[in-house]
Amino acid sequence: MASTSTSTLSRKLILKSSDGEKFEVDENVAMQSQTIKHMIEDLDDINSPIPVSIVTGTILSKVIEYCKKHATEDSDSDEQLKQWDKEYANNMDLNTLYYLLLAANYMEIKGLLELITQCVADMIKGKSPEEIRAHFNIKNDFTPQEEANIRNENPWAFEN
Amino acid sequence: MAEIKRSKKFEEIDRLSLLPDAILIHIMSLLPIKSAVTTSVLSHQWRYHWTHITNIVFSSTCLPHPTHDNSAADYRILPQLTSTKIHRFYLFLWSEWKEFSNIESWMHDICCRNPEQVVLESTRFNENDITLPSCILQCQSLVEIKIIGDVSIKPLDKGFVMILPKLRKLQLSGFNCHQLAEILRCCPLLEDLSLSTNKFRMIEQIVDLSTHNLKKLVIKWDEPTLLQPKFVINLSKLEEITLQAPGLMLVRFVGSIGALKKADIRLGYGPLKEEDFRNGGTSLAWNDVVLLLRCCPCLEVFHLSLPQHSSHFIKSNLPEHWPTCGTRLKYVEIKYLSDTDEDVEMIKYILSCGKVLELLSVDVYLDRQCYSKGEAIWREHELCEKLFHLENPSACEIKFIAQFVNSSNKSFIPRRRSIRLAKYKVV
Repeated sequence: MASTSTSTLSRKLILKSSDGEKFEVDENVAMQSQTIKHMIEDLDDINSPIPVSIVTGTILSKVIEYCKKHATEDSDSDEQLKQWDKEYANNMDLNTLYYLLLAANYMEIKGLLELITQCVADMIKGKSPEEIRAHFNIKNDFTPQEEANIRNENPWAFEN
Repeated sequence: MAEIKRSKKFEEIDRLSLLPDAILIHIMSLLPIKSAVTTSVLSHQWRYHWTHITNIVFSSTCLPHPTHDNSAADYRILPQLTSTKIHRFYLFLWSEWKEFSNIESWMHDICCRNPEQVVLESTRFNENDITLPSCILQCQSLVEIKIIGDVSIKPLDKGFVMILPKLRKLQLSGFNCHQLAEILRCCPLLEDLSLSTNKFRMIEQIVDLSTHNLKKLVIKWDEPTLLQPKFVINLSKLEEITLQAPGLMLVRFVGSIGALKKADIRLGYGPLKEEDFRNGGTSLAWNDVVLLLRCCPCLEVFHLSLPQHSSHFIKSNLPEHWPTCGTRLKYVEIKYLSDTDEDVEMIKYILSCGKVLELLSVDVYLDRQCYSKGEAIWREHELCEKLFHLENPSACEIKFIAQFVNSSNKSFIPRRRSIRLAKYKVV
């Protein structure tokens, strides 16, 4: 009985990305994704690869890196883990952040979703509209008159 | 050439706007309201996203500094929001605003939107308090209310019915006894209560704290008040207590606090007057500490911080035969211990009672003005040795922290020396 319980602990799952790349991960690492957790419950044969259909291999490997770190959190203090999270997010370029955000949302990994949304929020915080547009390449489709009108609705928000 | 062009184009795509609306709203909920409103002007797509936010944060940079024209504070922000369920509302109030005329209408508006958490913060040391409308006490969705600084709730009208069925966490700084008693009676689920007496509005001097489910209690006597409030505590489910008080005399435990596992007691805070020492009103007797330990048989973690100039304090009253108590203590930390016989006796007592004690940490404070450096080192050494030689049935670690001597009974100098030698050999 004891041996079966240990074998379930170290069960391996295979995740398959949208571009066909396969990743073998420990069950407790993959289970941080609520989506995968639900998939496994419905699955009869856990040895067949689990498709993570909208996530590419490059992004999935980054997601797994995060999940691995957070699956073994006992070894690190909260502080160390926070520091690791910070460096993890800071090493991503904007493009990767977007895809990670979509992946975390789709895979329902709460911690990762929170980390990345906070990271994007920090990029917006305290910036003027012009700076935000420049940072994220957002195209201004208002006429100058329209823009002035909107600013006038909440003038305090645009004062420095 | 073509490749450079393509990569440039790739860079220029505005992926942020392509994200699902739910994620964008989530991101905006993490922003102070000023930044969230700023996004309304980015593009058509962003026009109304911000109005869906569920976290409303008016941080100190969001509202103009009071030195600005005050009429500018007359915003119409809240009516623009569309969310019917607010997760968190945070408002920072500059204390210089004598009156924040909007507060009444703001609070009414917020309370209609099913908020879970309301946090109001104001800078301290202010003579003009900001008064909240009492509608906050009728907001049934609230799980947490946190009021920091000089903000108080309007006195209740006669016949006012308070309903806070979901409230679990409450922090107040300005309150009066009647109001507090009324609030406690109307929050059956309250688990976590934090009080600071800096603007204690006194009608009676004694506050009766008894609610069924309270698990965590924090009381801080912050600023001098004319009368020091006293507390009668009758909380059978209490697990954690933090007291930052002038003395233990201000708190009386009635009934059992048998569930208490963690206590953090910091003495010597708040107003201390000469006569308090003389009449023994706020003095510390080790007796009081033993009495406290007796009330809580399950206590595991005990932090005690003595008044820094504890030599002023009467630490006598050592009965010949103390009853055994505090037998389940695992971690004990005592700060600002001195080298009097009474203090050594107390440590001896804790060691003899603690059958499962793992760590006893003592932070020693000898008033240096009385001694030269050499004398201080000598006395610290002497005290350290005394403590390490006390009977220690649980073989716990004793950490000794003083100005010059830092040591632990588990890493005595001889052992350290042998380690050094071993290392030397390997090299």
